[in-house]
Amino acid sequence: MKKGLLAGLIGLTLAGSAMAGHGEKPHAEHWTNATLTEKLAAMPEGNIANGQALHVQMMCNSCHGEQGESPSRNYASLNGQTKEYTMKMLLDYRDSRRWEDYKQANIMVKLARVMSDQDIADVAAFYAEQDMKAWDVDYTKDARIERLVAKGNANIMLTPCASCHGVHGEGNGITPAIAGQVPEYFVRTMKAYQEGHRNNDVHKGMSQFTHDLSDEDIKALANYYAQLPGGEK
Amino acid sequence: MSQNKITRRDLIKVFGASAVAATGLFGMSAKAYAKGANHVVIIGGGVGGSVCAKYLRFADADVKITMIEQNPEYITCLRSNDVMVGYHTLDELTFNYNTMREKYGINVMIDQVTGVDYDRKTVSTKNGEKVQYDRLVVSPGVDFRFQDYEGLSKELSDTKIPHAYKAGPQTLLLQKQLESIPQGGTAIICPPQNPFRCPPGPYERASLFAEWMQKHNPRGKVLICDPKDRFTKDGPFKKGWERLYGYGTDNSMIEWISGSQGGRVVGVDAKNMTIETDGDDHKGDLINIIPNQQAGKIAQIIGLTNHSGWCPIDRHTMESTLHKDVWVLGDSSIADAMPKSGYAAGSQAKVAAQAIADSLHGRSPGKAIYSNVCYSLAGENYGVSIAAIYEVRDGLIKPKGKSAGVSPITDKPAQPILEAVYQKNWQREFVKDVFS
Repeated sequence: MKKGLLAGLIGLTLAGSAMAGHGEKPHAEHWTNATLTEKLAAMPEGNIANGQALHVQMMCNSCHGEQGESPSRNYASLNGQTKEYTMKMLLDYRDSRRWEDYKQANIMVKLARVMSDQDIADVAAFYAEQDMKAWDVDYTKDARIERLVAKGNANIMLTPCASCHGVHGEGNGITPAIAGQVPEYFVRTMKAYQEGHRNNDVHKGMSQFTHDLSDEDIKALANYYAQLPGGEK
Repeated sequence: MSQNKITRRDLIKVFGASAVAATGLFGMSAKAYAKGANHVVIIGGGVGGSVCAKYLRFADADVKITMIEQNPEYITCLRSNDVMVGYHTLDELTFNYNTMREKYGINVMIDQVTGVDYDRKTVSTKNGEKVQYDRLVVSPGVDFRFQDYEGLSKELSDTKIPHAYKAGPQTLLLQKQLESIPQGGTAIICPPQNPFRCPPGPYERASLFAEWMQKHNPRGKVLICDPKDRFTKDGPFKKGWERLYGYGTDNSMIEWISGSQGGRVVGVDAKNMTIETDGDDHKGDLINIIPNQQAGKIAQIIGLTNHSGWCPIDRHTMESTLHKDVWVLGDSSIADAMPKSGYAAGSQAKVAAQAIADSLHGRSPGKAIYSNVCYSLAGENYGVSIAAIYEVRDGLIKPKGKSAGVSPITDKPAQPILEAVYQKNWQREFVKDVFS
């Protein structure tokens, strides 16, 4: 076992137990653009090989797949994710910003709490290096959805998805890659934003766009992005 | 009440006329209220009794089922160690019998069984009831052998030397005692000799006490005085203790004295808070003697135990080998390689429910397959587990193939963390299977 992780494991027991009761959400400051930018800039440089080793050591592979390509509808794909987004998620789990109803985030919260900033940077570097993989989903060209992606919808004040997530859904810095994402996970995430269970986005940067989307829109977007190969690495 | 005990009128009293008229109960037919319906009486409303009642309802819609239990509520021993260190409240572990009554049409009598007349097939109770049965199920848990320890008694366990091995007031007493240990003081835990209920229980308790002390009494110590040289999951437990509590070093928060090191407790001096062992005497600020055990008292009273103090059963059905048409479940039964755990009792209860339904309908019972899964905590975020599937082989219940295993010891820090998460999920789903 890596020394730092073992120390972390012991630390976790102490930190975890300092929480009142069990399963209660500890207080966590929301990010502002400034604090997030500052934190990400201060993160250490990730090491891909160490990240790959951690991917196995922390048993990430048992849910997220050998290279981060989720083998099931239950978990997110991480392959090809931007390193900033992966880092932010792990920091958010670690500091309980990403808690949702806890049940779902439970495992990630517990695991992230034993990861150092260096560990987080390393796995993020590893996932960013992996190719995205399109899903074999039932998608027939849907002009309405592709217009939503490329042009947005002025009637509901919706900016085009592509303007932040990229023309190929490849993501950009803190904006996650969504091409090749597990469609069921995509739907769950959008619903969690919509219903307010997930609120770790800076200034409701994502959740505000979900309010006026119908379930049908969300499902169609999930299928559209699932089959998108995400462009060249 | 007169001879034919549970009449349709009684059921109406319990469930309300509309429920009975519409037979709105889960999987229960109108025949179950008929005068000639088969009547299965279950003594004990713990895991074994409750699962048996529920699954017997699944197996036979037409049978009348009565469960006799002393207490109106049941507190699971499962996770009661958590209560002592504040990870759970006792309330969260407390269940009533409303679901049994309302969903599965079980008549739950809060009463205490005093005897059984096997010739007349009648159970008598403290409140003077006489309940006739066609098939009887006995699932009474364990009885404690205070007499194995000089100076120990039931009365002392209720007041000063709690075993806290049946969840309830003693759980809270032990919690209070833990909190009252002076800084740098010692908690002594004395596990029983095999076989006993919840084999990892004492060691999980020691772990959680040590974890609690790290926060509240950092110079405190947990001393385990054991009559045995091995205990369940001892590999992963000791590894966890090494990682979390410095086990094996001079500064370890947990010290374990095995049987061959003289760890067996033979007596207690409650006034001086000292235990006498085969080795040295030890002074403690808290003394938790978990006494040796035998089959639940009622099983002894009604002659279901043999010389071992436990109840022999037919391995394929859980039917008593001493009395016909009587089944014994859970901790009280002699189930060979199966541990005395709630999970095991539930698994046995399902086999028994099917066997009882088979016997009522003249079918011959099948071959039994049992299972057991137990998760324990070596720390709040450090789980260890054991699991096995069991079959009957050479006349004994034995693990099937290579199904049996305990948590491997790996260098992956994620593994015990994930096992602690799975423990929570396992507990939630398990109690759902029993009480929902």
